[in-house]
Amino acid sequence: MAAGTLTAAGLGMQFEGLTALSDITLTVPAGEIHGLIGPNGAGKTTFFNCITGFYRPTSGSLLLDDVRIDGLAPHEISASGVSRTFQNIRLFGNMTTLENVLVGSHAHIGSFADAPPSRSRSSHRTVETLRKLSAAPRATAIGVGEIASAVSRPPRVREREREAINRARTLLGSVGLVGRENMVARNLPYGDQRRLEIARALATRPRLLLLDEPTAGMNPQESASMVSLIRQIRDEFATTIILIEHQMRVVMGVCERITVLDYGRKISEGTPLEVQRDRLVVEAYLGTRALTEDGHAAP
Amino acid sequence: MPDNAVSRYLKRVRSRWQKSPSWARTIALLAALLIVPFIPFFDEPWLRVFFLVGLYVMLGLGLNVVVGFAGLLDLGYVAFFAVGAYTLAIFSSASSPLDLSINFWLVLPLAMIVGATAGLLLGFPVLPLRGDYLAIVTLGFGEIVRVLIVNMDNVTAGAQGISAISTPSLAFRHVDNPTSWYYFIVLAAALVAFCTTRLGDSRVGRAWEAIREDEDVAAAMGINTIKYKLMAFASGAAIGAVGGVLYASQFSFVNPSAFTLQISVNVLALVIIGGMGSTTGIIVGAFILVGLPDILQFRETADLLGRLEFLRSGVNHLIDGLNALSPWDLGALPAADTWGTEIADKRFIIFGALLVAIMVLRPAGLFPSKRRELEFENPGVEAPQPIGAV
Repeated sequence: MAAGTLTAAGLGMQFEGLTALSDITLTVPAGEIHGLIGPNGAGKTTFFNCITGFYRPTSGSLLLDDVRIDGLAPHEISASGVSRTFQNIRLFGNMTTLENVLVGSHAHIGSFADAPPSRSRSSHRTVETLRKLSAAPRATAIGVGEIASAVSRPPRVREREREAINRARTLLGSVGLVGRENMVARNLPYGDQRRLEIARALATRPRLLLLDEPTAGMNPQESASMVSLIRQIRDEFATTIILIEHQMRVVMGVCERITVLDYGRKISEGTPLEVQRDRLVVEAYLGTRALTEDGHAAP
Repeated sequence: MPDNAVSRYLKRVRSRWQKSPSWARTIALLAALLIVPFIPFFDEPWLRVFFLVGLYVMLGLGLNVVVGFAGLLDLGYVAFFAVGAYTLAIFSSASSPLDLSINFWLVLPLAMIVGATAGLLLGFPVLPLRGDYLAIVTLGFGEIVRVLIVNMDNVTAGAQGISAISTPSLAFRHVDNPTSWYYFIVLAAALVAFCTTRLGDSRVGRAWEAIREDEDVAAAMGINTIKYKLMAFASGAAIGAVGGVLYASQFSFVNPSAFTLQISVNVLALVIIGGMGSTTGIIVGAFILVGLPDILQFRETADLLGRLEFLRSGVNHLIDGLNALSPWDLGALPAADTWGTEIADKRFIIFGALLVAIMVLRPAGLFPSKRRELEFENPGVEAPQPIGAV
């Protein structure tokens, strides 16, 4: 598992008259911690939704290590090595901490291999339908096989399940949630919920991890420990990280490079220092007064 | 959850039950069920009611896969029940228009396949739908199947129905009397309970649960939501079809008027009343919803009530006292030997009131699964059951 390089080329997302993203071209090299900033409504989360397949980009392309991922279904994108957390925490609230992580490792417990993600590029609906139909017998066999193995529970399946649980425990350890395995997720303290989301995302074995405001609502101490967790994850799990963040202290502290979005366009890209000095960024995002107050004060 | 005597008592019973190991619980339950036909009190009408209860337990377990595990609200479950019943009728009965007379045990797997296919047929168009919209479409599906059965009379014999449906033989014995049917349904329901419990506690069950909790996130975590939703529909439908097969075989007659919305509603209600997601809950729910209305009109119930004659004079004295104070005439209690017929006449009122009472007092159901209970209770509790035990 090596970190992946994300390449967006001319990516655009249009919602009937509203252009949420236009012509985003961006390369995030493997192993980088990349920041994505911009005022509210700039299109940061839309960008994440495009990468993870929640939205289908209306133009341009997305590549993860030279493999096109735009247009794939979310679970196929997850299988290609992209995982994410959510701005408003979206855990499986009624499942335990451990179960949440196990859901993340779903694709890695399977004893029945799914069909490889197929790119549905065809513009003809009939071709598309035929392609899906031809996959039906195999899919049915897999489904029946999965149900049969869940009911009969052969030793191989038990073994895989045990491995998955061990791995999930290790992951919970890495994000600092030891001893909370059997707590129901929605009863976890806020900070722990954010950590659990990260553990769950890591369980999918991502090569690219997207963090949507990982320190939102945290106090300075919690933010600081989140920053060190993010660095630790990059080193320990060899993954590229893109994070959306509003706290300038965090962005400037942890990100190696930063992209600034405004009204769905990329207005700047560079190291934290370069971005801070960029006139356009200051005007669009920080405001003129912020330049003298925060901009220079930030580390 | 309201803290009252009933709920405290149920809680104590349940915690005692849940503290014993699962194999002990299963053996205790099965043993209790197996000696029932030997108790003289439970004569044939009782065993017939128990058969019906067992049948609904099976249907409840099947619907629970769809509604409880995967969170897909299905109001057309009767469709799969009908598909199973008619598959057996058409292929096994000599009086069906096809006149094939195939053995019960060969038709059973066929019925499961046909049922699962019907589940997929329902599943495909409703894939993008959630919640209330899903409920409405499934409701329509149930009606479509019934209307199809009425109108495809060259296969289904239409409204006339099909009779002389074959019965199974098990271990060289023919299953044809209430006692053997009772054993048969206990066995079948136990088998289904085993399968659904294992399914729920597996990678597949976890995927369903994730979909129920948050479908988008489940997809982002690598779960093929389309595949697993279809799997839930298909396996739930296959179980419903098995239920239909047993129903058709036991009554040895099917006609379309038996497969009404009422069955879907009953099955859904027993799953909810019993406590969604829990097998014990489904058994208790089936007893209350399916068994009770019948038991209330039994001779034994009337006999039992007849013995309460001694209460009558006391209550009538009380009513007399109230009569002296109230401007209205409150009448008096009739003789106790008529109470049985009174209750039999008004059993659906009693039954309805009971359902309302249960839902108000125990919104999570009578015997909710651990997790459902947590959903309804106040936060801050730790789930005691580690899932690590595979």
